[in-house]
Amino acid sequence: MNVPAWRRYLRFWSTDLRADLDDELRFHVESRVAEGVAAGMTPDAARAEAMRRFGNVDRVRRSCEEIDALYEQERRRADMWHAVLQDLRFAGRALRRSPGFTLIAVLTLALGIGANTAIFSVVNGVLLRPLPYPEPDRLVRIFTAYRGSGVERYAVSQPEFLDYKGLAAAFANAAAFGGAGLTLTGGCAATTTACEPERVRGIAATRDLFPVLGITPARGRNFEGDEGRQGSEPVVIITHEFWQNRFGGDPSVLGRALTLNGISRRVVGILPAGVELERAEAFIPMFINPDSLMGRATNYLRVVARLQPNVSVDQAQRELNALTRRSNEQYRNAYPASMGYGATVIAMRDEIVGDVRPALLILLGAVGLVLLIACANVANLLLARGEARQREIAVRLALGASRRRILLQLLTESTVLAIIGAVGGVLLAWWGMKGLLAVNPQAIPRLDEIRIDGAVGVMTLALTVFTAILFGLAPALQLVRGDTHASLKDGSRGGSESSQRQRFGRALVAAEIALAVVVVIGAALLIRSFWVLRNVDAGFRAEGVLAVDLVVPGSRYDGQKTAAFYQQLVDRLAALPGVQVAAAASDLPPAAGGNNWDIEIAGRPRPSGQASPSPNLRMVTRNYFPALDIAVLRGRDFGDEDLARSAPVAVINETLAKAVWPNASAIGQQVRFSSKLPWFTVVGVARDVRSMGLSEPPPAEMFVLHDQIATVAGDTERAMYAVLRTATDPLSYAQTARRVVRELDPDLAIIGIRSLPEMVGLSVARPRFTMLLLCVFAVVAFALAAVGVYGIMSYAVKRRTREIGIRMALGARPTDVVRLVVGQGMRLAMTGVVVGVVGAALATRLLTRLLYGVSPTDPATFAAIPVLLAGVAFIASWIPAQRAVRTDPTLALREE
Amino acid sequence: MAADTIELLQGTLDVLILKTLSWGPMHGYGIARWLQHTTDDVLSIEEGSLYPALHRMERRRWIASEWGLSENNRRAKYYTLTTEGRRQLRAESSTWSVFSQAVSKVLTANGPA
Repeated sequence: MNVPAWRRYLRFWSTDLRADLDDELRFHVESRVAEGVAAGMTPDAARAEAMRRFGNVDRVRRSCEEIDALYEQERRRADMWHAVLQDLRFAGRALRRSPGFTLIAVLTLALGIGANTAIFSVVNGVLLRPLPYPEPDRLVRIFTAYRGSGVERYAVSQPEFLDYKGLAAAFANAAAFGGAGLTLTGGCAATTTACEPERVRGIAATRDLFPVLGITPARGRNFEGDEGRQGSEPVVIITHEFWQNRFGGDPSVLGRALTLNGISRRVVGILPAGVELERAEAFIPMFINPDSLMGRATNYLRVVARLQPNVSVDQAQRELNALTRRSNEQYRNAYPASMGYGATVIAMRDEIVGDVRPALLILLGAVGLVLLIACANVANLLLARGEARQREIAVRLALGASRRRILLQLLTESTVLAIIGAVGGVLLAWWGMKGLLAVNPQAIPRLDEIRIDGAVGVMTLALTVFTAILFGLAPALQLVRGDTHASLKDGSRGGSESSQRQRFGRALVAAEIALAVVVVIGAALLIRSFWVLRNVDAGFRAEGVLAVDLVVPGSRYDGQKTAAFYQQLVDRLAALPGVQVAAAASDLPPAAGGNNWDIEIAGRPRPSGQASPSPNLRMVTRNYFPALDIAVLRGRDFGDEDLARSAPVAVINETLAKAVWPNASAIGQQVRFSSKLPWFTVVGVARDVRSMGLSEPPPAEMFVLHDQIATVAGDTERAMYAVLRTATDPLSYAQTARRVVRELDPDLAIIGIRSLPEMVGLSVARPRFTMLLLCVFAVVAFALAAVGVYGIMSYAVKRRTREIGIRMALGARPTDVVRLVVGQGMRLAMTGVVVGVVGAALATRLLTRLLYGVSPTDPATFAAIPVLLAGVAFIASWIPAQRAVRTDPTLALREE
Repeated sequence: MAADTIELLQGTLDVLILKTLSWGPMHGYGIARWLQHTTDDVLSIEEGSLYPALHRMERRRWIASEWGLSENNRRAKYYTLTTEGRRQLRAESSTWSVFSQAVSKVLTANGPA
């Protein structure tokens, strides 16, 4: 509704609607009476006639009042909008008038709001957004736990899975699955049967998997009957994404036969888009035969279950506890008391997101602090600008504007600033998130699900309003509260500037420094921690090593052939020019998986009811230790004398040696994994390697020869890494290595070729990600705080130009003046730093879980960062001080 | 009075007021007198009913009001036709003439053929 502005001034003389109406009606009646009297009637008769002609006065008045009331309401609303529009126009003008201020304020706010939007969208996408399944809160993962040795999440055996699945008090349904590396060699196109071998990420799952998740294939059907059982028709279900990416969404794929690991499997289903289970592309059926279950010690299943409606995770955990207690009594042989067998249930989302949560929450806290600093900076700018506007405000107050009206006007200005800042911030966030994804998409699960959506929009909007009030209210209140008379009387700015306002400004800057100290100390701790982590002695040398990830299909390779294949491959790789040494291993540091085996030690009876030592078993070829440059400290390395058929030998690491033979030499001792296998003689002790993560202590490990295992056990590991060491860039050998594999077996898919340094980098991707982000925020916080100190000091100096001029004219030396100004700045900085250090000491405790090798109150960091910030504050106040002493005293005195 | 009669009267009154104001600003009493004079007192309008109509039309922004002095120097509320009111008047008058022509055709017809 567009009401002309002049309309509002009607209000000056027509404020009482009711009186107006009475006047209007009385005028009518009295005019009529006067007319009657003029025509010769008596006043009484004239009045009676007038009233008769008029009708019911009360009714008329009532209906007029009703209409007027409505009209008034509409008018008031229109006026309000008009006022808001006017304020906005006014704000726009005011901001345009000082483009420098506007630019700095908008940039500052954009940084603060942008950082928050970016991190909140990560938190929203990763932590808050539900999984893409119906009733995702009811989805849980179940693990076995061996609390005797502190293991909380371990794979599940078949009988245990059936125990859990049958626990109707807790679970509506449960499914088991396991990883299945698949190689696609046929069925890639409708016309040809053979195709270039390709690795497919597969999962073997019981047929309840999709019903548990609550999804049905978009095309085709789920697994049915006893598919997966030996002898039934081999089938496969593929994901929507695999269907789209690999087959271009060709509908004829449904029903087609794909050759996977040498077996022809018919595609019976295609899942709907968005199903994400451990990044699998294809699902094959797994059948658990209740009539011939594997033992309770064969743990290889992962379990996902759907809770009964209205059953919480805690309740389910209690039911599981009761169940495992019964199992411990019932199967005493399988579960020795010291093992502490139990089960763990956790919400599926928590399992996926895992330990990212603390890192993300820390980042969220850090950007919150950055936003506070940004607000303090802008508040300070507003405060400084407010001094210049003092007279304008005083005049308006004197002319009768209400304080409330002016306050609203000033807040409108802040809001406009905040909104422009927010727009910039969202752009910044959008651009920053592209950067985030580029830094490392694998560092954080679900990172690819992040986007700026409604929730993020609402959050940003709320943040913007909050920000506007936060930085705008205090300066606005200061302005409006000011003494009108004083500022009008004072010629220009008044020598006795309201010291209260200055005190407020200084408090803001001190607070900024304090917040910056907290953020920068946090970032510095993470940098140190990362530095320690990267420089930790991992026990092996990654430089120059290329790793080729391979699996040979069981359909074509038995144990002997597998061993022969890898030996041949290693020999050929070693023969390549420029390759110093080549080997193969079942797993590689620094991100090897757990592969614990209970071992029996010759001459020591297996103590009943007590867990036996269970090192991680690694199958390797000869030359593994030289290839990774791992020292064999005692005894000897595997050598050419250790043939596939000669006496089985083992090399153990220091941790295992210390654990099992703390007081004796391990060399010559004999161990075995199972009573069905022969004894292995320990021939050497190798240096400890941080094989399961740079931040994890070295696990107990035992190395055996890949081909000897094939001989003694009849089978051996098919998934191996081939490694080669060169003096140059290992990746330059990638093509050659690929060619060598092809020559040996053209149907073999190479899972991946990576350099070992790259694998080391990936293993610390997450701490690196957190550290990088926190560093960015620390730099922003740091810069904002520096700008804040500089701003308030230059302002203070500018206002004291005259005073300084007088001092100089009276003979003060420049150093005195500099000392005066810098001293003031440093007092401010010191207050901030002290508060900041105390705050940091409290806040960095939250970082404990993210730190490695650095205490959350690391003295070096706590000493260096405050000095650094104080140094910056020194420079930020020294520059304006220099400028002040350089001014000509006569000019300074004449100023104003 | 039945509801439809009021409705008709109200609409009619509005057009009459708008037409009256088309000659220039006028206060309520003036409008009443002018109507009385022009219609030779045939339409007996209850004068009070003018005012709710005036206020309603003001709310619809067909007319605007302003306080001024009357011929005999008394404070009186003058109403002016707005652009919107003029547009309304044009629309209503043409509707009226169509309506009245139709009615007189019926009334002067020679009965069904």
